Order: sequence, then structure tokens, then C-alpha cells
Amino acid sequence: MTSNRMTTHAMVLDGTDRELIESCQRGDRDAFRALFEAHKDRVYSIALRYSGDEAAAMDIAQDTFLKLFSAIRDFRGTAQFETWLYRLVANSCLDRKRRTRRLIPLVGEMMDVLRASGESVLDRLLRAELSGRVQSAVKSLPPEQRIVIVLRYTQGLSYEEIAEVLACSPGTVASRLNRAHKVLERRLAHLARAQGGSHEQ
Amino acid sequence: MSSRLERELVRELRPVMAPDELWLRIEEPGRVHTAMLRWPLWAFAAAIAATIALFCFSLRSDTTSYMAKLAARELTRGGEDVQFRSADPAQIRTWVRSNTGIDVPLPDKTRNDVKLIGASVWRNGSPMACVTFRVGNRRSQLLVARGSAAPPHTAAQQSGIPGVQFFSWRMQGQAYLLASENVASACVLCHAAPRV
Repeated sequence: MTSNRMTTHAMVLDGTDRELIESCQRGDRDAFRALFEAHKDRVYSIALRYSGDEAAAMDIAQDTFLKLFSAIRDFRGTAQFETWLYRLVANSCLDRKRRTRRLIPLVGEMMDVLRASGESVLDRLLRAELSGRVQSAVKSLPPEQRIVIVLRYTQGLSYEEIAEVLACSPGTVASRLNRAHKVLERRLAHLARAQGGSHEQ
Repeated sequence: MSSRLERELVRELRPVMAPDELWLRIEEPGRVHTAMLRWPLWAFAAAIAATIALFCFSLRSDTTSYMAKLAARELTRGGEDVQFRSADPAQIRTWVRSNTGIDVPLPDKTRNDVKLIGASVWRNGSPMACVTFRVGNRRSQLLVARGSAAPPHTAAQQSGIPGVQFFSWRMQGQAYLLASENVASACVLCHAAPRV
């Protein structure tokens, strides 16, 4: 994990966000839209990587922003806005029961493969296979491990930042990450063997 | 953890862009949660669509066959009884519209060999208009019924019984049936030349 990834997403409330939040608290509709535009990709990415399903991700993102807009009057500048936002989306993810099954995952993946360009069909199929297995392995993790993995690898948050979002200690975060890594390594070991050592530098 | 697994996780869990329609979902929070209802909704929609299609099909054939039955009865009877007698297309159009709400798009002026006799209205659940006319010495009828549940346009179909030919079609949500001893010649009620 690179360090610039971490600093890019440093959880600070900059001047722009502060003004936007104040405008939102006054009920300014344009400010709501601007705040949404500023954070929509982040929220949707966490939702998608957690759920592994686009429709479920839309539901989670919708829930998150509705909660955000309805509660923004109560937001105090003393807290960090992004921590609050991450907490909202993490809670929406964790609250979500396993309501849906991914009925036809292969069809969507195959369509993505066929739409992609620049690689041979075989390369693309292998890439899609690998991608599908990694995402499937992540999806099979228990929720509290999965959200830690997503916050870590989708948003590049540090252990301390994840701990703040999830209201737990950094030690708990480290423990969950460690357990998740072990599970993922075990489940994806056959992929490493199949691809041989050529990728290990 | 191996660096390879870490690389895979960074790549496979990379951030993505939110779809544009997400804002619509925020603006209209009443929208259903698609993941929760997607499959039942599609199944329900498919069942409704199939029912409507069946209904329209049956409505179309029922309406058309009923109109054909009426036209055949009137034409084989031989008389020229009409509820509203007029040779003026505009008057007939107005009378039919005021009695049924159906608009029969007759031309403002008919060909010289077309003689309008008048119009009648029948009701069998929904109203039906019948314009009676002659082309030369051949009696003909144009029947029009409302078909709001039907598709707005369909291809014309020709059929008949001994002594009466039919030509039926749908246009702008209404069902039409032209009936005549020689249905091709009856087309000149609205068109410059026979079209069948």
C-alpha cells in the first residue's frame, strides 16, 4: 500500500467542505448537490466493494446520502467530516442484511470482458476470472473483516483512521485485517499456484 | 501477507466512479431499493405485460369480429336504415363524435362516385360508429370502435364471408373495419384510389 494513497485521502475538513456543510445546514439545495458530487465516488466505491453488487451498492449509497442530508444539521465542525461520512457508509454496509444473491454473476462479468479492449480474449477471460475470484473471496469474509479490508484497500485508510471510523481500537483493526488476510491468502492460494512465480518479483 | 495478494487487493478493490443515476435516487428517495425488489419486480412486470398483451390480442380479435358480424348483418339485410342521415362528411363526423366520442377521420370532400348515406351508433359495452355509404351502386360500411388498450397501429388484415369482404386495421388507438361487397372499391371513401 503506497503512502501517497493515504495522504490523498487524509481526513481533514478543508475550507471548501466547511462552507458546503454550512450551506447544507442552511438548507441550500445546490450545496447538497455539490457535497454529493464531492463525495459520491468515495461512498459508492466503498458500497460496491463491500457488497460486490451494483444494485446493492446503489441502495447503500442512497441510504448513506439520505442519512447524511437528514443529519447534517447535527454535524458539528469539531468532528472530521470524512470520518463521519465513512462511518455512515460503513454502518449502512454493516446494517445491510444479505438480502440478495448475485444470481448471474458470470453474465455481467462476461459482458464486461467482451466490452474491454486492448487484450486478447483469453487474457481478458483470465483477468475476469481472477478478478471475480478475488472479489468473491472478499465478499465471503465476515462483515466486520470485510469493511476493514474495503476501507483499507478501496480508500487507503490507515489503521488509526479505520479505528476512528468504526469506533474501535487500532489493535482491533489490525487483528481483523490479519484474520482477513489469512482467509484471503488461503482462499486465493490456488490462483498464485496457477500463475506460478512469475508475478512475484 | 504476500505482496502479491496486497497488489491484487489494491487492484481489485480500487475506487470506481458512481453512476449518474445515483443523484436521481437521492432526489427521489421514494424509489424502490432495486436490489431488494429487482427480481420480483421484473417477474411481476413480465406477468403484467403478458396479461396486457393477451388482453389486447383478445380485444382486437373480439372487437374486429364483432364489427364484422354487425357489418355483415347490415349489408346482407339490404336496407339503408341509418340513425343520422346526411351526405356531408363534416356533419357525420360531428354527429358521431358527439354521440360516441369517436373521431371518424372522414375527408372534407369525398369523390364524386362516393355517396354518403349517414351514420349509426351501436353500443356493446363500448360504443361503435358505423358510417354507411355507396361507391357506385355498391353499399359499403366503415365501422370504428375505440380501442384504447390496443396498440395504436397494426397492419391491415383482409377477410370475408360469402358476399361481404372485410378490411380491418388499427390506427391511433381505434379499430377500423371496412365492409363491402367489393372492399377494394370502398377504400375510395377516404383515398383517391383503391388500396387493397
